[in-house]
Amino acid sequence: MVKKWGMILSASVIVLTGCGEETENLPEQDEDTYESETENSATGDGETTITHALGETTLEEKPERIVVLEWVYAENLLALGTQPVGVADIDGYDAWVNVEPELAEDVTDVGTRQEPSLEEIARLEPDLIITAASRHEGIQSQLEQLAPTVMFEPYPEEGEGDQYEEMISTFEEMAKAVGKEQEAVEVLADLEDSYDMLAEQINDAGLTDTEVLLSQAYSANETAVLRLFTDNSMAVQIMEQINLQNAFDGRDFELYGYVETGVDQLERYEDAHFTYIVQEDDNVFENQLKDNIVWNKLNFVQEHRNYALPGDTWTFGGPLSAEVFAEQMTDILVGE
Amino acid sequence: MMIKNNKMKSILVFGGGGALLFLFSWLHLFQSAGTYTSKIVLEAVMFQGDTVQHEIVRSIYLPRIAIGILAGASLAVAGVLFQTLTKNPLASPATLGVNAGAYFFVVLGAVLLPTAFFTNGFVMAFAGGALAAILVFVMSGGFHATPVKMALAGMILTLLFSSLTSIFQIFYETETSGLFLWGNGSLVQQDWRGVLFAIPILILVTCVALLLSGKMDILLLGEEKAASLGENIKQTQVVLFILAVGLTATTVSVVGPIGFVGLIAPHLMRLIGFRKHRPLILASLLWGANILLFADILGRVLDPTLKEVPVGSVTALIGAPWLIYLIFRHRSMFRRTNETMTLGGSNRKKRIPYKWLIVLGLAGLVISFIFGVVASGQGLQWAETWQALTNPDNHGLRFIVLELRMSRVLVALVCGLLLAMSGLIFQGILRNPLADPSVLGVTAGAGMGAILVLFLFTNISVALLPVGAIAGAVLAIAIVLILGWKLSFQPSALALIGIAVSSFASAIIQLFITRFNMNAAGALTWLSGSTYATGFPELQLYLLIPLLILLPVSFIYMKRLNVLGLGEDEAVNLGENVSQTRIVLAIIATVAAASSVAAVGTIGFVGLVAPHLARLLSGYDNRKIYGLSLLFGGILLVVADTFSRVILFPKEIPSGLVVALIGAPLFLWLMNRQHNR
Repeated sequence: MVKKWGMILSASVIVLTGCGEETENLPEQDEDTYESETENSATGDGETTITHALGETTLEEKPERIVVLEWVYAENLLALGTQPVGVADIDGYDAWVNVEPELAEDVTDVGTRQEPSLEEIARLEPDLIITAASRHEGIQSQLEQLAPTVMFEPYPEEGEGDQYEEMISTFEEMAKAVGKEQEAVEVLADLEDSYDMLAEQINDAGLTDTEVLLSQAYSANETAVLRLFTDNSMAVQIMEQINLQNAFDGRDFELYGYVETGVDQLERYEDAHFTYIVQEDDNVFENQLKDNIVWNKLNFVQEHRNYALPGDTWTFGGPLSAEVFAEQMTDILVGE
Repeated sequence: MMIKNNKMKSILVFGGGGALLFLFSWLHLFQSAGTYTSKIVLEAVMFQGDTVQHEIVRSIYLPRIAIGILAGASLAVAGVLFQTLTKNPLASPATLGVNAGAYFFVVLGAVLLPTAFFTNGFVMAFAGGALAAILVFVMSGGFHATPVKMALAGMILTLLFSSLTSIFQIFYETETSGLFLWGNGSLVQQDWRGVLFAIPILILVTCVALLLSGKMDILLLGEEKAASLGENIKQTQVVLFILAVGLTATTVSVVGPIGFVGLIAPHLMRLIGFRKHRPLILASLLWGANILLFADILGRVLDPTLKEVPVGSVTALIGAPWLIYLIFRHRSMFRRTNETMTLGGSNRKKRIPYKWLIVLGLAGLVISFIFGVVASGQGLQWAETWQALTNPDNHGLRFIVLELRMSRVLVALVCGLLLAMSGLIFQGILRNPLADPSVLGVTAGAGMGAILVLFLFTNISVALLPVGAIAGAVLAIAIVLILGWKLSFQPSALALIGIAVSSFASAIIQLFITRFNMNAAGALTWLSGSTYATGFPELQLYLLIPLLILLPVSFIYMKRLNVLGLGEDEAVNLGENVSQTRIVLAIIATVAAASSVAAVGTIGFVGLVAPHLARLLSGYDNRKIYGLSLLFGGILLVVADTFSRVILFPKEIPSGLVVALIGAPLFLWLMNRQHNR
């Protein structure tokens, strides 16, 4: 975190000292390349209509220059073999999302996910903007002035479908937008295959229907806060795909798919396998809980049934993140 | 009789308070234990049994009760010390900005040194708390500070520090997601470490305070009397200051900033009739603990799921109405002190002629406007901007310069004008130099209205957010003005009612964000006020018509504002219909503030700072102040908007936060300047 702070400071220094210099990165130059690209690709494959959280958007041509303002959609594009031209908070993406392929070096950072720079987006001259409705519904009209904008909703309300279905349908919808439906079918088929393979490994290890308590942990004021995932979360649905059971009683709907709680609530699930995602520089299990009486008394600690998932395990992503998560889950449980 | 009464009183306060604390502790324990059998709970308390459940009761639930008692007691004692030290019945760790200062430093420490522990947290909290307290003390006039100025300087500092804290939360959304809860105070514990850390400090401070209680009694008599009795006042004051800041820093580093307990508990005890410090400290200590423990129980009744409503929000919900009650109860005090706070203009002989001031102001506005239009994240783009304006064929560039930059700068400009107008009018009609839309509760009220709209109509378009904001703003200011009316608009009373209403509205906002799991970072961005992504639509929808109507109307009323400035009696003698003028002007000021809230969210400080700068330069005539003040308001927000876009490009900083960073120091300097004159 210190490093990141330093980077922000030095970046601001660069911006300040850079003031007054003429910039060479004018949109005009981009425009030329952009036009020649579209000429090549515009092979008359006609219109596509994309259904999203805020209605339908019709694209006249296949989009080539896509700006993505929420991480999961950047990941989806990469899964389809397309690099976006701009992504919000690339540092954050690199730190939290761990999938192959990675974002290309020349992808432009367009600012924070809360308030991405409209000017930077405009400069990229996108022909499609993809983001999450809950984040940017408020600036829908401004974004639409820059390019056709589709807004999906990764967190459906109660009774409006679950997060996993939403993830798959958004992925397919995005594939339609970039004309890569075939690739999407392959990616999803690969995902199913790896579920089957992983489920088999789970079976072979005699772990079928094992109760697993999945948590994400961080400290708030020196106290360990644990997120426990509910049944409507994508993470739990992925676990079920590989024949694991959610130990947490998560039948109550939670919009983001988890509840935040403390170490005292773990006792009810102490016979489960405990898995956790924690950041290295805020490892509550090595710092706050190491000598904690309650923690050390829990069955899964005493019987060594607690397993660390890597800190960049992203449980809010697309098919690639889902596959990585399922693999990591299997690896730690089977012990490879 | 007296003795018997005192005895009764002591029995009730200490005996009854002790019994209540015992009762609350058990209630709290069984509430935590939830599904556990009472056998397990009892065994655990008696230190028998060693199952996990026993250990959970012993090492998680009991520390939470203990820390609740300790924190409540510490805040109450700190409140007593601050109140005596400043001879200000409205002083407390929260109203003096000590909480916010301490908390900001802790967050700063958490981001810079990720593995900070209580001790580090305490050191940071102490440094931040002391800094805030000293700043407030100096800014409000040192030993000659009036209670109100002090409370207001405290509030300004609180705004400043909260803005800084918000910046961290917005930029470290993923890393600081837990800080949001704790930022409003949380008693959650997982072992006895926090308790063991806080206990010795509370005991030590209480003992020293009790030893000094005699001197504190004398201190309240006034400095001259105390000096004539041969007391070394300064020394006592310094010791009390360190004790009070130390107690506050302890609670902030262990449970986060919690308001109102430090204000309510001592007052409650004074109401009952404790005057001498020895019993006052002990009684406040006991009842502070009761109040906080009760708030924690109530918080979990409000939200029975596993999630936590921050206890600080609950104390604000209980405390805000209580503060208003206190103000009404002490109304005589406000009248007696009758602080006619000067709407001080400059008395300097060498003054720049008004004509030149206006020319300079206009030039400043034009320059900042041009600067705002040509400044981009990649530096100043003179050539490109010129090209965009003159060559209509270059659509891309033209769009960036005209639609994205210039229209946004225009919104900032108009909002700056409206906010400055609103601030100037409020300051004038209330004869309160510290009035401003944000001080009077408009800001928090607007935020509350917006959140309620988001919650009540989940499927509604976000375009309706501003409607909720306007409704909330109008409601808040109506409450403040109606209550203020009953207190004949005493500046101090009014400002404090504003604080109470703001705190209450903020507590509601926090409650909704935690209770209903709303996207805290998104809400925070909007609530901090932002010119982000605004432009011609906002200008048309919310700003242009109010500006065109209000600008001439308000200017016409400036002469009447001058008359009001002479004082109620004088104005009536001059044949002025005071009430009517006040109502019309209040409506103008509210509409101006509300339209800017609708366009850019809640931006504070502009309405506070701009009229003061204008007054400083142009004297006492509101007609003169008016023009300058509007110009300064425009410049301030345009500059803030430009900085918010380019400093961390392509990252945006909400411009409301930039205004706070520029405006707060400017304001504190202005305030300080008044005293040194």
